[in-house]
Amino acid sequence: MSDLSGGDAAGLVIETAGLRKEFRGRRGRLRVAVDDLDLAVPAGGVHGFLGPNGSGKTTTIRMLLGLARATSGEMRLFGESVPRGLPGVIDRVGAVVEAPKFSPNLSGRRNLLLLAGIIGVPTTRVDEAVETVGLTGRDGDRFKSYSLGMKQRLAIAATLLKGPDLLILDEPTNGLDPAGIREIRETIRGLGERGVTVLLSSHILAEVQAVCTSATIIANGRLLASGSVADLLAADDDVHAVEVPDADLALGALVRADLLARRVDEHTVHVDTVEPATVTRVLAEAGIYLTSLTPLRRDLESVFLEVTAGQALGEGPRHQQGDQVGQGDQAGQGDQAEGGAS
Amino acid sequence: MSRFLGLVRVELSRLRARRALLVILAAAVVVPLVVAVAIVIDTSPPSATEIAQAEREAASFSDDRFIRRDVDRCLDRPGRYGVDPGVRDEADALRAACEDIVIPSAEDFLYTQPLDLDMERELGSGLAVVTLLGALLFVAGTTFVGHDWSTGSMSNQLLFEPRRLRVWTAKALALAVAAGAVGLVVLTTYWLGLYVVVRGRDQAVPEGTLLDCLQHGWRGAGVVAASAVGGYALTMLSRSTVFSLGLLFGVSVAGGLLLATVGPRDPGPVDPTINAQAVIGDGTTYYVEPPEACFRDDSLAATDLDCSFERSRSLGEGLGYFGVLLGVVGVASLGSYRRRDVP
Repeated sequence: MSDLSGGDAAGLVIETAGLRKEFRGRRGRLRVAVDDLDLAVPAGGVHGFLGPNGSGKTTTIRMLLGLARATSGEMRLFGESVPRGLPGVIDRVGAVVEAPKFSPNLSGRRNLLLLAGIIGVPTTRVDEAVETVGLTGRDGDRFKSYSLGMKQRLAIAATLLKGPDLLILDEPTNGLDPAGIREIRETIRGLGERGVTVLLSSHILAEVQAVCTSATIIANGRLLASGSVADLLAADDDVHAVEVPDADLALGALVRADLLARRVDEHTVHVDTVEPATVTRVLAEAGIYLTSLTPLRRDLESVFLEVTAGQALGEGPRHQQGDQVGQGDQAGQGDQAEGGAS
Repeated sequence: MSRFLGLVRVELSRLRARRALLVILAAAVVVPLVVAVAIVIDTSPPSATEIAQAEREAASFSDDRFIRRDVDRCLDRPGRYGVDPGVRDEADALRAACEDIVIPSAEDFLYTQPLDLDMERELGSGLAVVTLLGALLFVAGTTFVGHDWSTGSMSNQLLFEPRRLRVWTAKALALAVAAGAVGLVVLTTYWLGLYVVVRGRDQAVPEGTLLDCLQHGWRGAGVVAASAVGGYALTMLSRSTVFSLGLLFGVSVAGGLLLATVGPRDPGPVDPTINAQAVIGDGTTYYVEPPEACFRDDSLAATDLDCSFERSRSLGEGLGYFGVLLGVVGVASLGSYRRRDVP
């Protein structure tokens, strides 16, 4: 566990060190949802918080917002220790955790007015927030009559009541149609451009790559990678995809020539960090004639699948006594396993 | 402080905005009104038509031969009929007395009981109305916060005010104010209404009776507010409206049985009904079965047994009982709310 740097002064809006959360299962079994997590989110921009379902993203967010207690470790928001210092900074933090949660029989506007009353902001702020998320004209309707997209937008409007410096959005496009996803994405991008730091938790990698400037990847509650999106994508830029008649033969030849290679499918091999000419020479000397040689343009998905592969296949869920029950994003490990297989 | 008051105002707004709560509060007004109307109708003086009908029925009996035979028996043996000995020697006075005793009068056919405020307060509807209000506001307390848990809006609220002690207290305060105000208005109106009816009927009201009734209502309003806060605290602890209502039902049904079967000989210190009566009525008297030793002559002199049937419970004892009960539930509720993760 590392020490915290001091938060706000160090240009970090969110910082955790050695953060850990354990849950007790029904039979007293211990399940570790977040394990020794060191997270650092710099001020400004949109920061992606990536991880498969059940990786501990929501639990981490809930601990940062004071909704759940950390078993151990330290957390800071704007340099203030959480949960003790949370009241001092909560007005700077807007958050949507999991599904939007409002009183179903009250109108969207009424729900916002109640929340505005807690922090004592004028009703004009409600009007502004409603307008920003495009709910004007429907804000008088009951919350339960809203579509999922409208509910998400109302939740974002609620976060805007504070005029936040930090926005934490947990899976904000869950269940939305493509148009809704685009709307939310534009809203997030716009907020980032206005100087609001956004922590966007998601398992939709294209979404994160489309709007985020930096990202953290976690799995099984542990940090796997973190940095700017550009750095994450550039980290392994020299990979080439080699199409051959027999991938196993080609793989053998490349490995014998001390090249880093891995089989992708029966006709494809990925080769790391070499000149293309070296690959063609090695294969030609082995009597293998390649069909194509293409520099691999990595996307966040391939980075994600790479860094989470060992977690999915090697370590498995980090249960101390095998309990699978978690909190928040706890579905399955399906997409993670798929990543590991590729 | 101003932010805390803002929080209380928000909770009061939340109360007003909840339709289920408005229905319960409407019931808290309507139910006592119905009880009052029933009492007023039940005790209303007979109309001219009813009096005329009663007089006709009485007159029809005056010539009845069985009645006449009974009058003759009375004249023969006036002692048996309880005739005043002073009139037995005067024939006319004796006849008048016997006819008065034997022949039904019009009043005998008018079955009305005049409205008596003292009786209503001590033995009549006073306690029933407070009990009904208390039960309704307990449900209001559970529903109020049960909705926050079931919809998940509790976590949303904590994203705006993370100090859970403040949130818990603001909600409890808002509920206590609302329930207390409803209880105060309803019970004050209830007793003032009955008083106006009594005076409108030209009945005498003993001095101090109105004040006693109003004080009965005000103490009742306190019980109603405490009941609402109790329901709230219990639901904050269990996070389930169903659990709290089930517990209320269980205590009201099984509690009495349990006390009767395995409870102490003197149930005063543990019985919620007796303690509620003590609070609302500024002290109460109840009855117990004395120990069997009291019925054995030899043991009486040797022991300090309390062999009286009557026991009393003071206002202070009743307040202490409910204070401890509310305190225990409140501390457990607040402790749980501050420590447990919020979904």
